[in-house]
Amino acid sequence: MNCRKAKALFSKLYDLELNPETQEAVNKHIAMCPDCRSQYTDFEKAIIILKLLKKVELPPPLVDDGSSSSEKKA
Amino acid sequence: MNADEVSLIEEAKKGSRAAFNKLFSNEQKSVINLMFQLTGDIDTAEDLTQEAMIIAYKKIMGFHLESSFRTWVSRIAINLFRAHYREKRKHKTLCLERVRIPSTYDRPERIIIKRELQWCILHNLQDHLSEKYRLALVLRDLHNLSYREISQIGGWNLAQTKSYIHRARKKFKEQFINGKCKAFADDYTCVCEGILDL
Repeated sequence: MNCRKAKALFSKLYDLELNPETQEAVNKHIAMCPDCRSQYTDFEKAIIILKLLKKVELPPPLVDDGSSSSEKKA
Repeated sequence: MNADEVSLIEEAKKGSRAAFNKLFSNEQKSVINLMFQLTGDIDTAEDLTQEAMIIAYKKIMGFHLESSFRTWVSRIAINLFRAHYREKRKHKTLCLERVRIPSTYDRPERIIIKRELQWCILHNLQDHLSEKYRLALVLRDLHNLSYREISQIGGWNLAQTKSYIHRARKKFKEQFINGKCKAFADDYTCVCEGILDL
């Protein structure tokens, strides 16, 4: 495993999509290589930041089951 | 897809408005958030969601359960977003590279960073990622969809989907870690951890 191969697999590593042998090889490389370790930490950090995006509140119901209009008429 | 959903779809196809409303309201929050994350604008997100609902209602007869209802509705919404994006791309957008970010030393009241971080995340999604990368990133990391579901919604094959997700994450990371957004990322990671209500 070299740096170029390891970096290309960051996303699959994060998603646990690698087979056990490759996962172990990438993890081993990251543990030994300060540059890849730092880059993978940044990679994870960026995803954590993205997940901080707040969910929007729902507006008043878009769907109308008809009951509201009959209430208004009444 | 669960039996309740299948039954509601069948009822909706027979013309039951109540069944369709129930189906759509189950997915409304997911769709409106998806539209907000892609457009960065709540009013546009509401409009596109409303439009997606109308189209889904008209086209429900053509839905043959090839995917979940959520995937099908999301795909309708994505098509609307793509049309909207093509239109919007004609206009110049505000880019952070031209905006002065106040130094953290300017602001002892760091709580403001929380709001600015939200803005910065949206800015990165809107202005620094292409449409397909933005879509891949949002569906994977904000909606936690599988590669297969994302490929169905995006209309891509599995290899393209994996590649788009990887490149989108890389691009987003580079922008946040190496770009001007570093100011926010550093504040978040080093200074404001306690303020951000993680």
